[in-house]
Amino acid sequence: MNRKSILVIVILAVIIVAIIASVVLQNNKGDENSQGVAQERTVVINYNPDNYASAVFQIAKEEGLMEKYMPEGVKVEWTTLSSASDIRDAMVSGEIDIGTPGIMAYMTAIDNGMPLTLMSFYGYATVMAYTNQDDINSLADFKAGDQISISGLASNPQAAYLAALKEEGLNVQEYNTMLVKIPNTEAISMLETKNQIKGSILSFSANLKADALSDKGVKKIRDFSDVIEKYSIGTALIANTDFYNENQDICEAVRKVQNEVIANWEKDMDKNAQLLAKQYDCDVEDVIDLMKNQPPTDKVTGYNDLAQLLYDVDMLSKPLKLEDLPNYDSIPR
Amino acid sequence: MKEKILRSNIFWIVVIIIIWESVSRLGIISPYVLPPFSKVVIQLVQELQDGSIVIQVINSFRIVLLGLIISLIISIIVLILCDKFKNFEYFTRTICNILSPLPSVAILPIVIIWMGINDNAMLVLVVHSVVWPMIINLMEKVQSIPTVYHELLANLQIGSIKKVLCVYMMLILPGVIAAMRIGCARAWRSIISSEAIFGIIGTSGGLGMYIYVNRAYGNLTKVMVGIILIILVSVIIDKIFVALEKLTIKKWRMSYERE
Amino acid sequence: MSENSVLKVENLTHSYKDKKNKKIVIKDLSFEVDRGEILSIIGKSGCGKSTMLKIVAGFLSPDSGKIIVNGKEHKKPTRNVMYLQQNYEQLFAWRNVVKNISYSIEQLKLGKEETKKRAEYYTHLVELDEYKEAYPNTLSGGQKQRVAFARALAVEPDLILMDEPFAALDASTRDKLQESTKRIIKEKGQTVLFVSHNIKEAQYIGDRMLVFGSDKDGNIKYYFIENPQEQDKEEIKKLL
Repeated sequence: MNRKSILVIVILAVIIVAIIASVVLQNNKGDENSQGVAQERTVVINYNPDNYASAVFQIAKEEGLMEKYMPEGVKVEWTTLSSASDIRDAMVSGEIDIGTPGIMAYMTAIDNGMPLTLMSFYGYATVMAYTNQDDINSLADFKAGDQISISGLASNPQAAYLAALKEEGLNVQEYNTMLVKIPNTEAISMLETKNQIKGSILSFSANLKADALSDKGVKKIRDFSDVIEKYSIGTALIANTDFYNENQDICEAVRKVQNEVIANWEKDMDKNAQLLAKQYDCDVEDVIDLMKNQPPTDKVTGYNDLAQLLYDVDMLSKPLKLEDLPNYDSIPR
Repeated sequence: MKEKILRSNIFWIVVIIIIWESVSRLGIISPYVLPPFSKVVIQLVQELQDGSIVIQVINSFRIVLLGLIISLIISIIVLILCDKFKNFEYFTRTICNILSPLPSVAILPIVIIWMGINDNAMLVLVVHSVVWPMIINLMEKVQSIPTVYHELLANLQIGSIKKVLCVYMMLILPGVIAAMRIGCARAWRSIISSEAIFGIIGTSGGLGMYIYVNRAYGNLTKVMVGIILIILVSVIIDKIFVALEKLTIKKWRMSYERE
Repeated sequence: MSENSVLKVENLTHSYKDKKNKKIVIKDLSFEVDRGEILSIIGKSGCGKSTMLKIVAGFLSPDSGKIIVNGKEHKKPTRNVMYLQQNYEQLFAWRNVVKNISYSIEQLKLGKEETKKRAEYYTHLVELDEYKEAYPNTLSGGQKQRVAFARALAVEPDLILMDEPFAALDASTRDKLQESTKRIIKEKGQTVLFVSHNIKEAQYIGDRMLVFGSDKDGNIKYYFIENPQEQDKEEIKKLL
C-alpha cells in the first residue's frame, strides 16, 4: 500500500469521525441553547400508565399539577414507555429526562456506570406468586426443574421473588434459575391450562386475572408486600444526571408534584381510584383496596438491602450503598 | 497490491474497529452507548474463559442446525409428495405463501402455549422461519430442471422418492446450498428474537437470551460480546457452506443451475 | 403385424390447439418397424416428426391411433422404449462416465457385479474406456452424446428413439459419430427410429426412410423409401 492510499484512508476516517462528532455536538449545543434562554426549556417525562407503581404521575398528569409547579417557560412532554430497560436506555441516551423505572433497573444501570440520578422513591410494586399445582402451597414447595414464569428481567417481580427467597432461607441462586420469561397474558393462560409452568410471579393488574381463575385450580401462594416494603422494591424517580445537574429547578418542581399527590392521597382516593380503574380495566374496589394497602411513598428505606441481595445473586458487581450517592443528602429516607 | 488491500474484508474491519475505538475513547459517543472495542474484546475473552457463554452459543447453534436439518427433511418429503401428486403442489404453494411471510415472533405466543417454554418450542419457531421459504425455493429449482432430465427419469421409470432424493437434490444442489445459507440466516434471526421475548433465565438458554439478559441489566459491553459472537458464528457457518460449494458445485461445474 | 415387427404405429393422428384453430401435425400415420431395423425419419422443421417420437415414447398422448410395442399397447414411458435427445447436457454432473452409464443399468436391479460388468462393456462399446473416470464437465459434446447413447443402449430396450442426436455437434464430430453409431446399432441388432433434418444423414443411417412430406396441394403425405442410400438426395428433397 503506498503513501497516497494511506493518506486517503486517514482522511476518510477523520471525515467520518468529524461527521459523528458534529452530529453529537449539535445535539449538545441544542441543549445548551434551551438552557440559556429560560423560555425554550422542555422536560420529557415518562410514566407507565399500566403500572400502579407510577400511578402518581398518572394522577399528576390528569390534574395538570406539572404545569402548576414548573418554572416559567418550561414545556412538559410525556412519553409512555413501559419496560424498565426501555425507559433506562431512553434516559441514558437523553431522549427522556425524568422517568420512573424499577429501582432494580436503576441499580444495574449505575452499576454499569450509566449516568442516572436517584431523586426519590416513587411507588411500591404489587407482586403475588400463583401456582396451578395442588401440592404447592409456598415457594419452598417448588422443586428443581420446575418452571416459574416472570414477565421481565431486572424487574420488580424478580426483585420481590429474590427477596422473598432470601427471607425464607431458600437457595436464591437455584430458585432464580427456575424462572422463565413469559409475558403476563401468556403466563395466565398457561397457568389456566396447567401447561408447562408450575407457578407465576405476577404484578398488578395481571394478578387480578389470576385471582379470577380460582375455580380452575389457580391459587395465590405468596403476597410479596412484606419484602417489597423491607427492600424498597418498586419504582424510583430517576433523572438523567446531566439533566439533573443543569435543571435543579425542574427536578424540584417534579418532587413538589409528587409530594402534593402523596399528601392528597386519602382525600382524593375515590376520584383517583376511578381514573386508575379505567386505565387498568378492573373494578374500582380493587384499586381502592390497593391504594389503601400500598399508598405511595418517597422514602427510600431498603436500598442497601436490595443492593446486597442483587450482589449476592451476581446481578451487581458490587454492593451499592445509598450513602455513596453524590446527592445522598437530598434523597428522602 | 493496493487494490488487493482495499478489496479485503479484513482491511475494512480494521478501519471500522479503529473508528469504533477512537469514537468511544474520545468520548464522541458516550461509552454507555458504545463501549470501546478493546473493552468488548477483554469481556469476550473473560466470558470465553468462564465458559458458560460457550454453552449458550452451542445451545443456540444446536437448535439452528437441528432446525435446518428438519426443514430440509420436510422440504424433501414435500417435494416427493409434489412429484407424486400434482394437486399437492398447489396445496403446498398456498400454504407456503400464507405462512412464509409470517414472522416467527408473531406465532411465538401460540407456540409457547402449545409446546411450553423449552428447546422444542424454539425448534418449532426456527423450523417455521426456515421451512416455508425453503420449500418454495426448492420447488422452483425443481421446476427449472431442464425437461431432458424429467423425460429421462420418466423413461427409466424412476420412482418419486428415488427421483427426488438421488437426482433432483443433486441437480439442484447449488439451490439446496443457497437455501440452506438463507435458511441459516433466517434461523439465527428467529432464535435470537424469540429468545428476547421468551427465555429461560439462568445458565441454559441461548445467545439471544444472553443478549436480552445483559441488556436488561444494562451491561452494553456484554450485549456487544453477544453480537460479536453471532457475527463470528455466522461467518464460520458461511465459510462452511462456501467450502461445501467448492467441494461439489465447482468441482462438477453445474453451470446450467447457476443462471 | 408381421412376426418380426417390434413397433407398430396404427392410424396415428395428432394436432396442436392454439388460440383459434387446431393444427393437425400428424394425420393417419401407420407403419411397422422390424427387429434390428433402423428407420430414419426426415421432414421439415415443425412437421411433427419429433412429436411423433414423443408419442411413441409415451411422453405425449395422441388424439387417436395406437402405438404397439412387441404386441402390447405402449401408452406411458417405459425402459423398453428409450428416448435419446439431441441436447447432450443430459448427464449427471456428479457421476463419472461409467457411473452415468451404470445409472440406467442400476434400475434393472441386476446385482452389483452384473451392473458393473455391463457398464464397463457399454463404456467400451462407445470407445470411452480412457474417459471412464472422467466427470461430464471435462468431456466434449460428442463424448457426452456417446455417454448418453450408451446409457440408453445399456438398458437393452426393444426400441431406441433418437431425436436428432447429432444436431448440436460440429460437422466433423457428427460424421464420426454417425459412422460409429450405425456400427454399434448394427452390432447389437438394435431397433431404432432415427429422426433427422439432414437428408444425407438419414440416408446414411437408415435401412428404410420415412419422409414427412406433402403432396402437390400441400396436404400431409407420408412416403416410405426402401434402401435410401441408393436414392438421389434431390429426389427425396422434392418430397418434403
